[in-house]
Amino acid sequence: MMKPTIKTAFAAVLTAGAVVALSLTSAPAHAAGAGHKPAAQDWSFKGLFGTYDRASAQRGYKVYKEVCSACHSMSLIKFRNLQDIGFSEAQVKALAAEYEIQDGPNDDGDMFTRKRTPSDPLPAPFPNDKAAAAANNGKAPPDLSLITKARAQGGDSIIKVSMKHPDGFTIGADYVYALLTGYGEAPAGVEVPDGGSYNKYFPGGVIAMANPLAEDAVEYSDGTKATVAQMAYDVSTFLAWAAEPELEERKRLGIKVMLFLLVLTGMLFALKRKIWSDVH
Amino acid sequence: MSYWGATVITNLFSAIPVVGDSIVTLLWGGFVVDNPTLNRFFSLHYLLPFVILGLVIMHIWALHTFGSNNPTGVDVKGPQDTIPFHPYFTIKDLFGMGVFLLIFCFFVFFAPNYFGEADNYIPANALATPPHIVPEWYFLPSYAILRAFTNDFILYWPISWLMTAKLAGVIAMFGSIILLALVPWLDTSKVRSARYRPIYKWFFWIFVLDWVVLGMVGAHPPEGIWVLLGQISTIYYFAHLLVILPILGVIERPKALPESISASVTQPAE
Repeated sequence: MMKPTIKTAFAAVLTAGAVVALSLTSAPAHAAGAGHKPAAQDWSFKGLFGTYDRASAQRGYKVYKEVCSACHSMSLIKFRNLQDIGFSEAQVKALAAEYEIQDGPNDDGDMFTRKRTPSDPLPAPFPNDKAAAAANNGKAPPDLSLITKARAQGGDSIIKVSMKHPDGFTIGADYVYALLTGYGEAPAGVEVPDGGSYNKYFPGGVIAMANPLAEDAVEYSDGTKATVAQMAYDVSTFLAWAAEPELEERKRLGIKVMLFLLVLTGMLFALKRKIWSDVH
Repeated sequence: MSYWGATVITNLFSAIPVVGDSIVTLLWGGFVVDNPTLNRFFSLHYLLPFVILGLVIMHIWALHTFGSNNPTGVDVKGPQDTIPFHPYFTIKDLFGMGVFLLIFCFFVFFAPNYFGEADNYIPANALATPPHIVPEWYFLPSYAILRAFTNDFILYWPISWLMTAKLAGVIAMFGSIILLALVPWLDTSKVRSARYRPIYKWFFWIFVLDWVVLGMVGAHPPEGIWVLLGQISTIYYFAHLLVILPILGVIERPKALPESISASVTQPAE
Protein backbone atom coordinates (compact mmCIF):
# COMPACT_ATOMS: atom_id res chain seq x y z
CA MET A 1 0.00 0.00 0.00
CA MET A 2 1.44 3.32 -1.03
CA LYS A 3 1.42 6.09 1.50
CA PRO A 4 0.45 9.44 -0.06
CA THR A 5 3.03 11.40 1.86
CA ILE A 6 4.66 14.49 0.50
CA LYS A 7 7.24 12.25 -1.11
CA THR A 8 4.72 10.10 -2.97
CA ALA A 9 2.64 13.13 -3.84
CA PHE A 10 5.74 14.65 -5.39
CA ALA A 11 6.41 11.41 -7.24
CA ALA A 12 2.80 11.46 -8.41
CA VAL A 13 3.15 14.94 -9.83
CA LEU A 14 6.38 13.90 -11.57
CA THR A 15 4.81 10.79 -13.08
CA ALA A 16 1.71 12.70 -14.06
CA GLY A 17 3.87 15.30 -15.74
CA ALA A 18 5.81 12.60 -17.54
CA VAL A 19 2.63 10.91 -18.76
CA VAL A 20 1.23 14.20 -20.04
CA ALA A 21 4.55 14.95 -21.68
CA LEU A 22 4.67 11.58 -23.41
CA SER A 23 1.07 11.74 -24.51
CA LEU A 24 1.84 15.09 -26.08
CA THR A 25 3.94 13.46 -28.74
CA SER A 26 1.05 11.29 -29.79
CA ALA A 27 -0.86 14.44 -30.66
CA PRO A 28 -1.12 14.55 -34.44
CA ALA A 29 0.73 17.72 -35.34
CA HIS A 30 -0.20 17.37 -38.97
CA ALA A 31 -3.60 15.81 -38.59
CA ALA A 32 -4.62 17.13 -42.00
CA GLY A 33 -2.34 14.71 -43.83
CA ALA A 34 -3.97 11.67 -42.27
CA GLY A 35 -3.28 8.26 -43.69
CA HIS A 36 0.39 8.30 -44.64
CA LYS A 37 2.98 8.44 -41.89
CA PRO A 38 6.53 8.86 -43.14
CA ALA A 39 8.54 5.70 -42.50
CA ALA A 40 11.55 6.03 -40.22
CA GLN A 41 14.83 5.92 -42.15
CA ASP A 42 18.16 4.73 -40.88
CA TRP A 43 19.91 8.08 -40.45
CA SER A 44 23.62 8.31 -39.70
CA PHE A 45 22.92 10.99 -37.06
CA LYS A 46 20.51 8.90 -34.98
CA GLY A 47 21.32 7.66 -31.50
CA LEU A 48 23.64 8.61 -28.66
CA PHE A 49 26.77 8.71 -30.79
CA GLY A 50 25.28 9.56 -34.18
CA THR A 51 27.19 11.91 -36.48
CA TYR A 52 26.39 13.24 -39.93
CA ASP A 53 27.64 11.09 -42.77
CA ARG A 54 30.01 13.63 -44.37
CA ALA A 55 29.98 12.10 -47.86
CA SER A 56 26.18 11.93 -47.87
CA ALA A 57 25.82 15.53 -46.63
CA GLN A 58 28.26 16.75 -49.31
CA ARG A 59 26.30 14.92 -51.99
CA GLY A 60 23.20 16.45 -50.43
CA TYR A 61 24.65 19.92 -50.87
CA LYS A 62 25.13 19.15 -54.56
CA VAL A 63 21.48 18.10 -54.83
CA TYR A 64 20.38 21.27 -53.04
CA LYS A 65 22.61 23.41 -55.23
CA GLU A 66 21.57 21.88 -58.53
CA VAL A 67 17.90 21.12 -57.84
CA CYS A 68 16.33 22.69 -54.75
CA SER A 69 18.05 26.05 -54.92
CA ALA A 70 16.20 26.86 -58.14
CA CYS A 71 13.26 27.82 -55.92
CA HIS A 72 14.25 27.47 -52.25
CA SER A 73 16.56 29.76 -50.29
CA MET A 74 18.67 28.73 -47.28
CA SER A 75 19.16 32.15 -45.81
CA LEU A 76 20.60 31.05 -42.44
CA ILE A 77 23.50 29.10 -43.91
CA LYS A 78 26.80 30.78 -44.75
CA PHE A 79 29.32 29.20 -47.09
CA ARG A 80 31.86 28.88 -44.27
CA ASN A 81 29.37 26.64 -42.40
CA LEU A 82 29.91 24.05 -45.14
CA GLN A 83 33.29 23.25 -43.56
CA ASP A 84 31.24 21.45 -40.88
CA ILE A 85 30.30 18.73 -43.35
CA GLY A 86 33.84 18.11 -44.44
CA PHE A 87 34.54 20.60 -47.24
CA SER A 88 38.05 22.04 -46.95
CA GLU A 89 38.62 25.77 -46.63
CA ALA A 90 39.82 25.96 -50.23
CA GLN A 91 36.78 24.01 -51.47
CA VAL A 92 34.45 26.36 -49.58
CA LYS A 93 36.19 29.39 -51.14
CA ALA A 94 35.74 27.87 -54.57
CA LEU A 95 32.08 27.02 -53.90
CA ALA A 96 31.40 30.57 -52.71
CA ALA A 97 33.19 32.18 -55.65
CA GLU A 98 30.75 30.51 -58.05
CA TYR A 99 28.19 33.17 -57.07
CA GLU A 100 28.15 36.93 -57.01
CA ILE A 101 26.61 39.28 -54.48
CA GLN A 102 25.82 42.97 -54.47
CA ASP A 103 28.00 44.93 -52.07
CA GLY A 104 28.71 48.54 -51.37
CA PRO A 105 28.42 51.42 -51.42
CA ASN A 106 32.05 52.01 -52.38
CA ASP A 107 33.91 55.33 -51.93
CA ASP A 108 32.06 56.79 -54.92
CA GLY A 109 28.70 55.83 -53.39
CA ASP A 110 28.01 53.17 -56.01
CA MET A 111 26.81 49.62 -55.39
CA PHE A 112 28.91 46.95 -57.07
CA THR A 113 28.88 43.20 -57.44
CA ARG A 114 31.69 40.97 -56.29
CA LYS A 115 32.30 37.24 -55.90
CA ARG A 116 30.92 35.66 -52.75
CA THR A 117 33.34 34.81 -49.95
CA PRO A 118 32.95 32.11 -47.23
CA SER A 119 31.29 34.67 -44.93
CA ASP A 120 28.44 35.31 -47.37
CA PRO A 121 25.13 33.42 -47.20
CA LEU A 122 24.08 30.88 -49.79
CA PRO A 123 22.47 32.74 -52.70
CA ALA A 124 18.68 33.07 -52.70
CA PRO A 125 16.85 32.26 -55.95
CA PHE A 126 14.56 35.29 -55.66
CA PRO A 127 15.34 38.85 -54.56
CA ASN A 128 12.43 38.86 -52.06
CA ASP A 129 9.35 36.95 -50.93
CA LYS A 130 7.02 38.82 -53.28
CA ALA A 131 9.12 37.90 -56.30
CA ALA A 132 9.24 34.29 -55.08
CA ALA A 133 5.47 34.22 -54.66
CA ALA A 134 4.85 35.85 -58.02
CA ALA A 135 6.94 33.19 -59.76
CA ASN A 136 5.27 30.31 -57.91
CA ASN A 137 1.50 30.61 -58.20
CA GLY A 138 1.29 33.18 -55.41
CA LYS A 139 3.04 31.35 -52.57
CA ALA A 140 6.74 31.69 -51.85
CA PRO A 141 8.58 28.33 -51.50
CA PRO A 142 9.64 27.98 -47.85
CA ASP A 143 13.21 28.66 -46.77
CA LEU A 144 14.99 25.34 -46.17
CA SER A 145 17.42 26.38 -43.40
CA LEU A 146 15.34 24.83 -40.61
CA ILE A 147 12.99 22.66 -42.63
CA THR A 148 13.71 19.32 -40.88
CA LYS A 149 13.00 20.91 -37.49
CA ALA A 150 9.86 22.60 -38.78
CA ARG A 151 8.11 19.54 -40.23
CA ALA A 152 6.53 16.32 -38.90
CA GLN A 153 7.82 15.55 -35.42
CA GLY A 154 10.59 18.14 -35.59
CA GLY A 155 14.30 17.82 -34.97
CA ASP A 156 16.44 14.94 -33.83
CA SER A 157 15.39 13.43 -30.52
CA ILE A 158 16.66 10.19 -29.09
CA ILE A 159 13.29 9.49 -27.50
CA LYS A 160 11.36 9.99 -30.71
CA VAL A 161 13.63 7.91 -32.90
CA SER A 162 13.93 5.07 -30.39
CA MET A 163 10.28 4.67 -29.41
CA LYS A 164 8.16 2.43 -31.59
CA HIS A 165 4.87 4.24 -31.46
CA PRO A 166 1.98 2.70 -33.41
CA ASP A 167 1.79 5.88 -35.48
CA GLY A 168 5.49 5.59 -36.28
CA PHE A 169 7.38 8.37 -34.53
CA THR A 170 9.50 10.10 -37.08
CA ILE A 171 11.66 13.18 -37.22
CA GLY A 172 11.61 15.97 -39.78
CA ALA A 173 14.29 14.34 -41.93
CA ASP A 174 12.04 11.29 -42.38
CA TYR A 175 9.27 13.56 -43.58
CA VAL A 176 11.51 15.38 -46.07
CA TYR A 177 12.73 12.04 -47.41
CA ALA A 178 9.18 10.67 -47.63
CA LEU A 179 7.95 13.82 -49.37
CA LEU A 180 10.71 13.75 -51.99
CA THR A 181 10.02 10.09 -52.79
CA GLY A 182 6.24 10.26 -52.34
CA TYR A 183 5.16 11.63 -55.73
CA GLY A 184 2.88 9.50 -57.78
CA GLU A 185 -0.39 9.15 -59.63
CA ALA A 186 -3.35 10.58 -57.75
CA PRO A 187 -5.78 7.86 -56.61
CA ALA A 188 -9.33 7.98 -57.93
CA GLY A 189 -11.38 10.70 -56.29
CA VAL A 190 -8.50 13.09 -55.64
CA GLU A 191 -8.63 16.08 -57.94
CA VAL A 192 -5.27 17.67 -58.63
CA PRO A 193 -5.63 21.28 -59.79
CA ASP A 194 -3.42 22.87 -62.47
CA GLY A 195 0.10 23.55 -61.22
CA GLY A 196 -0.23 21.00 -58.43
CA SER A 197 1.08 17.49 -58.00
CA TYR A 198 -0.14 14.53 -56.00
CA ASN A 199 2.06 13.58 -53.04
CA LYS A 200 0.68 11.17 -50.49
CA TYR A 201 2.84 12.53 -47.67
CA PHE A 202 1.83 16.15 -48.07
CA PRO A 203 -1.06 17.25 -45.83
CA GLY A 204 -4.10 17.24 -48.10
CA GLY A 205 -2.33 15.25 -50.78
CA VAL A 206 -1.84 18.04 -53.30
CA ILE A 207 1.45 19.93 -53.30
CA ALA A 208 2.39 22.96 -55.38
CA MET A 209 5.97 21.73 -55.82
CA ALA A 210 6.42 19.62 -58.95
CA ASN A 211 8.36 16.40 -58.49
CA PRO A 212 11.89 17.80 -58.21
CA LEU A 213 13.93 14.61 -58.48
CA ALA A 214 14.36 12.35 -61.48
CA GLU A 215 16.82 9.53 -62.01
CA ASP A 216 20.33 11.03 -62.54
CA ALA A 217 19.14 14.60 -61.94
CA VAL A 218 22.60 15.32 -60.59
CA GLU A 219 25.93 13.70 -61.33
CA TYR A 220 27.71 12.71 -58.13
CA SER A 221 31.45 13.30 -58.26
CA ASP A 222 32.17 10.25 -56.06
CA GLY A 223 30.49 7.90 -58.51
CA THR A 224 27.45 7.11 -56.34
CA LYS A 225 24.47 6.15 -58.49
CA ALA A 226 22.03 9.11 -58.39
CA THR A 227 18.75 7.28 -57.83
CA VAL A 228 15.77 9.28 -56.56
CA ALA A 229 15.98 7.51 -53.19
CA GLN A 230 19.71 8.18 -52.92
CA MET A 231 19.33 11.88 -53.75
CA ALA A 232 16.40 12.23 -51.34
CA TYR A 233 18.41 10.56 -48.61
CA ASP A 234 21.48 12.71 -49.24
CA VAL A 235 19.63 16.01 -49.39
CA SER A 236 17.67 15.11 -46.25
CA THR A 237 20.95 14.48 -44.44
CA PHE A 238 22.24 17.83 -45.69
CA LEU A 239 19.08 19.63 -44.58
CA ALA A 240 19.13 17.89 -41.19
CA TRP A 241 22.69 19.15 -40.73
CA ALA A 242 21.65 22.66 -41.77
CA ALA A 243 18.82 22.66 -39.21
CA GLU A 244 20.93 21.21 -36.40
CA PRO A 245 24.62 21.88 -37.03
CA GLU A 246 25.21 21.69 -33.27
CA LEU A 247 23.99 18.06 -33.08
CA GLU A 248 27.40 16.37 -33.05
CA GLU A 249 28.88 18.72 -30.49
CA ARG A 250 25.94 18.50 -28.11
CA LYS A 251 25.97 14.72 -28.21
CA ARG A 252 29.73 14.59 -27.62
CA LEU A 253 29.48 17.00 -24.68
CA GLY A 254 26.32 15.29 -23.43
CA ILE A 255 28.08 11.94 -22.94
CA LYS A 256 30.72 13.60 -20.76
CA VAL A 257 28.15 15.57 -18.77
CA MET A 258 25.98 12.50 -18.15
CA LEU A 259 28.98 10.42 -17.01
CA PHE A 260 30.08 13.19 -14.65
CA LEU A 261 26.59 13.61 -13.23
CA LEU A 262 26.18 9.85 -12.75
CA VAL A 263 29.37 9.69 -10.67
CA LEU A 264 28.49 12.86 -8.75
CA THR A 265 24.94 11.72 -8.00
CA GLY A 266 26.20 8.29 -6.94
CA MET A 267 28.65 9.91 -4.52
CA LEU A 268 25.99 12.25 -3.18
CA PHE A 269 23.71 9.26 -2.62
CA ALA A 270 26.42 7.42 -0.67
CA LEU A 271 27.05 10.52 1.41
CA LYS A 272 23.32 10.97 2.04
CA ARG A 273 23.03 7.41 3.33
CA LYS A 274 26.08 7.87 5.52
CA ILE A 275 24.84 11.11 7.07
CA TRP A 276 21.29 9.86 7.59
CA SER A 277 22.37 6.49 8.99
CA ASP A 278 22.21 7.67 12.61
CA VAL A 279 18.64 9.06 12.25
CA HIS A 280 17.02 6.03 10.62
CA MET B 1 3.22 28.32 -32.66
CA SER B 2 4.44 30.71 -29.97
CA TYR B 3 2.97 33.55 -32.00
CA TRP B 4 -0.41 31.85 -31.92
CA GLY B 5 0.06 30.90 -28.29
CA ALA B 6 0.55 34.60 -27.52
CA THR B 7 -2.52 35.42 -29.58
CA VAL B 8 -4.69 32.91 -27.71
CA ILE B 9 -3.45 33.89 -24.24
CA THR B 10 -3.77 37.64 -24.73
CA ASN B 11 -7.18 37.13 -26.33
CA LEU B 12 -8.37 35.59 -23.05
CA PHE B 13 -8.76 39.12 -21.77
CA SER B 14 -11.19 39.95 -24.56
CA ALA B 15 -13.68 37.71 -22.72
CA ILE B 16 -14.06 40.41 -20.06
CA PRO B 17 -17.31 42.27 -20.79
CA VAL B 18 -17.23 45.92 -21.95
CA VAL B 19 -13.52 46.71 -21.42
CA GLY B 20 -12.10 43.40 -22.72
CA ASP B 21 -11.24 44.52 -26.25
CA SER B 22 -9.57 47.71 -25.03
CA ILE B 23 -7.44 45.71 -22.58
CA VAL B 24 -6.30 43.40 -25.38
CA THR B 25 -5.37 46.36 -27.59
CA LEU B 26 -3.44 47.81 -24.67
CA LEU B 27 -1.60 44.51 -24.07
CA TRP B 28 -0.74 44.13 -27.74
CA GLY B 29 0.34 47.73 -28.18
CA GLY B 30 -1.58 47.60 -31.46
CA PHE B 31 -4.33 45.67 -33.17
CA VAL B 32 -2.45 42.39 -33.66
CA VAL B 33 0.37 40.59 -31.85
CA ASP B 34 3.41 42.48 -33.12
CA ASN B 35 6.80 43.85 -32.09
CA PRO B 36 5.40 46.02 -29.24
CA THR B 37 3.75 42.89 -27.80
CA LEU B 38 7.05 41.03 -27.96
CA ASN B 39 8.78 43.93 -26.23
CA ARG B 40 6.20 43.87 -23.43
CA PHE B 41 6.52 40.11 -23.00
CA PHE B 42 10.30 40.44 -22.77
CA SER B 43 9.98 43.15 -20.09
CA LEU B 44 7.54 41.01 -18.12
CA HIS B 45 9.73 37.92 -18.27
CA TYR B 46 12.78 39.95 -17.29
CA LEU B 47 10.84 41.10 -14.23
CA LEU B 48 9.66 37.63 -13.20
CA PRO B 49 13.00 36.38 -11.76
CA PHE B 50 12.95 39.34 -9.35
CA VAL B 51 9.39 38.46 -8.33
CA ILE B 52 10.60 34.91 -7.70
CA LEU B 53 13.50 36.29 -5.64
CA GLY B 54 10.99 38.18 -3.48
CA LEU B 55 8.97 34.99 -3.02
CA VAL B 56 12.12 33.07 -2.05
CA ILE B 57 12.81 35.64 0.68
CA MET B 58 9.21 35.32 1.89
CA HIS B 59 9.57 31.55 1.87
CA ILE B 60 12.70 31.65 4.03
CA TRP B 61 11.05 34.12 6.40
CA ALA B 62 7.95 31.93 6.75
CA LEU B 63 10.11 28.85 7.30
CA HIS B 64 12.04 30.55 10.10
CA THR B 65 8.96 32.04 11.73
CA PHE B 66 6.46 29.19 11.53
CA GLY B 67 8.65 26.14 10.89
CA SER B 68 7.88 23.47 8.30
CA ASN B 69 5.14 20.91 7.90
CA ASN B 70 5.91 17.19 7.92
CA PRO B 71 4.48 14.04 6.30
CA THR B 72 2.54 13.01 9.42
CA GLY B 73 0.80 16.37 9.82
CA VAL B 74 1.43 16.22 13.57
CA ASP B 75 2.93 19.26 15.29
CA VAL B 76 6.44 19.15 16.68
CA LYS B 77 6.30 18.17 20.36
CA GLY B 78 9.93 18.35 21.40
CA PRO B 79 13.58 18.17 20.33
CA GLN B 80 13.34 14.39 19.65
CA ASP B 81 10.99 15.26 16.73
CA THR B 82 13.40 17.38 14.72
CA ILE B 83 16.80 17.19 13.06
CA PRO B 84 18.96 20.12 11.91
CA PHE B 85 18.67 21.36 8.29
CA HIS B 86 22.40 20.98 7.82
CA PRO B 87 23.80 18.44 7.11
CA TYR B 88 20.65 16.30 6.83
CA PHE B 89 18.57 18.25 4.34
CA THR B 90 21.42 19.93 2.52
CA ILE B 91 22.79 16.54 1.47
CA LYS B 92 19.34 15.15 0.71
CA ASP B 93 18.58 18.15 -1.51
CA LEU B 94 21.98 17.92 -3.21
CA PHE B 95 21.26 14.31 -4.10
CA GLY B 96 17.81 15.29 -5.35
CA MET B 97 19.40 18.00 -7.46
CA GLY B 98 21.79 15.43 -8.95
CA VAL B 99 18.86 13.25 -10.01
CA PHE B 100 17.07 16.25 -11.48
CA LEU B 101 20.16 17.37 -13.41
CA LEU B 102 20.57 13.88 -14.89
CA ILE B 103 17.04 14.01 -16.30
CA PHE B 104 17.36 17.66 -17.33
CA CYS B 105 20.72 17.23 -19.08
CA PHE B 106 19.47 14.16 -20.92
CA PHE B 107 16.86 16.33 -22.59
CA VAL B 108 19.26 19.24 -23.14
CA PHE B 109 21.87 17.13 -24.91
CA PHE B 110 19.96 14.27 -26.50
CA ALA B 111 16.39 15.41 -27.10
CA PRO B 112 16.38 19.22 -27.15
CA ASN B 113 13.37 19.39 -29.47
CA TYR B 114 11.32 16.79 -27.61
CA PHE B 115 8.95 19.15 -25.81
CA GLY B 116 8.96 21.76 -28.57
CA GLU B 117 6.51 22.15 -31.39
CA ALA B 118 7.81 21.73 -34.93
CA ASP B 119 5.70 24.75 -35.92
CA ASN B 120 7.94 27.01 -33.79
CA TYR B 121 10.57 26.78 -36.55
CA ILE B 122 8.21 28.30 -39.11
CA PRO B 123 8.43 32.11 -39.20
CA ALA B 124 5.37 33.76 -37.62
CA ASN B 125 2.75 34.64 -40.20
CA ALA B 126 -0.45 36.42 -39.17
CA LEU B 127 -2.19 35.11 -42.30
CA ALA B 128 -1.46 31.40 -41.78
CA THR B 129 -2.98 29.79 -38.69
CA PRO B 130 -1.57 26.37 -37.77
CA PRO B 131 -4.18 23.59 -38.07
CA HIS B 132 -3.97 22.83 -34.37
CA ILE B 133 -2.79 25.30 -31.71
CA VAL B 134 -1.47 23.76 -28.50
CA PRO B 135 0.29 25.41 -25.55
CA GLU B 136 3.40 24.09 -23.79
CA TRP B 137 2.77 20.70 -22.17
CA TYR B 138 2.50 22.00 -18.59
CA PHE B 139 -0.42 24.26 -19.61
CA LEU B 140 -2.35 21.41 -21.26
CA PRO B 141 -4.65 20.54 -18.29
CA SER B 142 -5.64 24.22 -17.91
CA TYR B 143 -6.10 24.47 -21.66
CA ALA B 144 -8.45 21.47 -21.57
CA ILE B 145 -10.56 23.16 -18.86
CA LEU B 146 -10.70 26.35 -20.92
CA ARG B 147 -11.91 24.45 -23.98
CA ALA B 148 -14.39 22.29 -22.06
CA PHE B 149 -16.75 25.25 -21.82
CA THR B 150 -18.84 25.00 -24.96
CA ASN B 151 -22.36 26.36 -25.38
CA ASP B 152 -23.89 22.97 -24.57
CA PHE B 153 -21.62 22.13 -21.60
CA ILE B 154 -23.73 21.18 -18.57
CA LEU B 155 -21.69 23.33 -16.17
CA TYR B 156 -22.33 26.31 -18.44
CA TRP B 157 -26.14 26.01 -18.47
CA PRO B 158 -26.78 27.57 -15.05
CA ILE B 159 -24.69 30.64 -15.90
CA SER B 160 -25.48 30.92 -19.61
CA TRP B 161 -27.85 33.87 -19.01
CA LEU B 162 -25.02 35.76 -17.32
CA MET B 163 -21.98 35.38 -19.58
CA THR B 164 -20.61 33.89 -22.78
CA ALA B 165 -19.14 30.39 -22.77
CA LYS B 166 -15.75 31.97 -23.57
CA LEU B 167 -15.79 34.06 -20.38
CA ALA B 168 -17.01 31.06 -18.36
CA GLY B 169 -14.09 29.02 -19.70
CA VAL B 170 -11.58 31.73 -18.83
CA ILE B 171 -12.98 32.06 -15.30
CA ALA B 172 -13.00 28.28 -14.87
CA MET B 173 -9.38 28.02 -16.03
CA PHE B 174 -8.10 30.65 -13.61
CA GLY B 175 -10.50 29.36 -10.95
CA SER B 176 -9.07 25.85 -11.26
CA ILE B 177 -5.68 27.22 -10.18
CA ILE B 178 -6.97 29.62 -7.50
CA LEU B 179 -8.98 26.77 -5.93
CA LEU B 180 -5.74 24.91 -5.23
CA ALA B 181 -4.64 27.79 -3.02
CA LEU B 182 -7.95 27.57 -1.14
CA VAL B 183 -7.57 23.85 -0.32
CA PRO B 184 -6.73 24.53 3.39
CA TRP B 185 -10.27 25.94 3.76
CA LEU B 186 -11.99 23.50 1.39
CA ASP B 187 -10.56 20.51 3.25
CA THR B 188 -12.72 20.11 6.36
CA SER B 189 -10.81 17.14 7.78
CA LYS B 190 -9.16 17.58 11.17
CA VAL B 191 -6.36 15.23 10.07
CA ARG B 192 -3.71 16.99 8.04
CA SER B 193 -1.95 13.99 6.51
CA ALA B 194 -3.53 11.69 3.93
CA ARG B 195 -1.48 8.90 5.51
CA TYR B 196 -4.22 8.50 8.13
CA ARG B 197 -7.17 9.03 5.76
CA PRO B 198 -7.97 5.71 4.01
CA ILE B 199 -10.75 6.98 1.69
CA TYR B 200 -9.12 10.29 0.81
CA LYS B 201 -6.05 8.40 -0.38
CA TRP B 202 -8.09 6.93 -3.20
CA PHE B 203 -9.65 10.21 -4.15
CA PHE B 204 -6.22 11.81 -4.22
CA TRP B 205 -5.01 9.35 -6.85
CA ILE B 206 -8.22 9.68 -8.86
CA PHE B 207 -7.63 13.44 -8.85
CA VAL B 208 -4.08 12.94 -10.13
CA LEU B 209 -5.43 10.64 -12.85
CA ASP B 210 -8.06 13.24 -13.74
CA TRP B 211 -5.33 15.83 -14.14
CA VAL B 212 -3.40 13.50 -16.47
CA VAL B 213 -6.52 12.90 -18.56
CA LEU B 214 -7.07 16.66 -18.79
CA GLY B 215 -3.50 17.00 -20.05
CA MET B 216 -4.10 14.40 -22.76
CA VAL B 217 -7.35 16.12 -23.76
CA GLY B 218 -5.48 19.42 -24.01
CA ALA B 219 -3.01 17.90 -26.47
CA HIS B 220 -5.65 16.60 -28.86
CA PRO B 221 -7.83 18.60 -31.27
CA PRO B 222 -11.27 19.24 -29.73
CA GLU B 223 -13.20 16.70 -31.75
CA GLY B 224 -14.86 13.34 -31.23
CA ILE B 225 -14.43 11.60 -27.90
CA TRP B 226 -11.96 14.22 -26.61
CA VAL B 227 -14.65 16.88 -26.18
CA LEU B 228 -16.79 14.66 -23.94
CA LEU B 229 -13.75 13.32 -22.07
CA GLY B 230 -12.55 16.86 -21.43
CA GLN B 231 -15.93 17.94 -20.11
CA ILE B 232 -16.26 14.94 -17.80
CA SER B 233 -12.76 15.45 -16.39
CA THR B 234 -13.45 19.17 -15.97
CA ILE B 235 -16.60 18.40 -13.99
CA TYR B 236 -14.64 15.93 -11.87
CA TYR B 237 -11.83 18.43 -11.29
CA PHE B 238 -14.23 20.93 -9.75
CA ALA B 239 -16.28 18.22 -8.03
CA HIS B 240 -13.15 16.98 -6.28
CA LEU B 241 -12.20 20.40 -4.93
CA LEU B 242 -15.67 21.82 -4.24
CA VAL B 243 -17.75 18.77 -3.29
CA ILE B 244 -15.67 15.71 -2.41
CA LEU B 245 -13.04 17.50 -0.34
CA PRO B 246 -15.44 19.32 2.04
CA ILE B 247 -17.85 16.36 2.44
CA LEU B 248 -15.19 13.68 2.79
CA GLY B 249 -13.57 15.53 5.71
CA VAL B 250 -16.84 15.26 7.62
CA ILE B 251 -17.91 11.70 6.84
CA GLU B 252 -14.53 9.94 6.79
CA ARG B 253 -13.25 8.18 9.92
CA PRO B 254 -9.49 8.70 9.97
CA LYS B 255 -7.04 6.24 11.53
CA ALA B 256 -5.53 7.05 14.91
CA LEU B 257 -2.80 9.67 14.75
CA PRO B 258 0.63 8.89 16.21
CA GLU B 259 1.48 10.62 19.49
CA SER B 260 4.37 12.50 17.95
CA ILE B 261 6.53 12.62 14.83
CA SER B 262 9.24 10.46 16.41
CA ALA B 263 6.61 7.93 17.50
CA SER B 264 5.42 7.63 13.88
CA VAL B 265 8.94 6.72 12.84
CA THR B 266 9.55 4.17 15.58
CA GLN B 267 6.04 2.62 15.35
CA PRO B 268 4.79 2.82 11.74
CA ALA B 269 1.07 3.43 11.29
CA GLU B 270 0.33 0.26 9.31
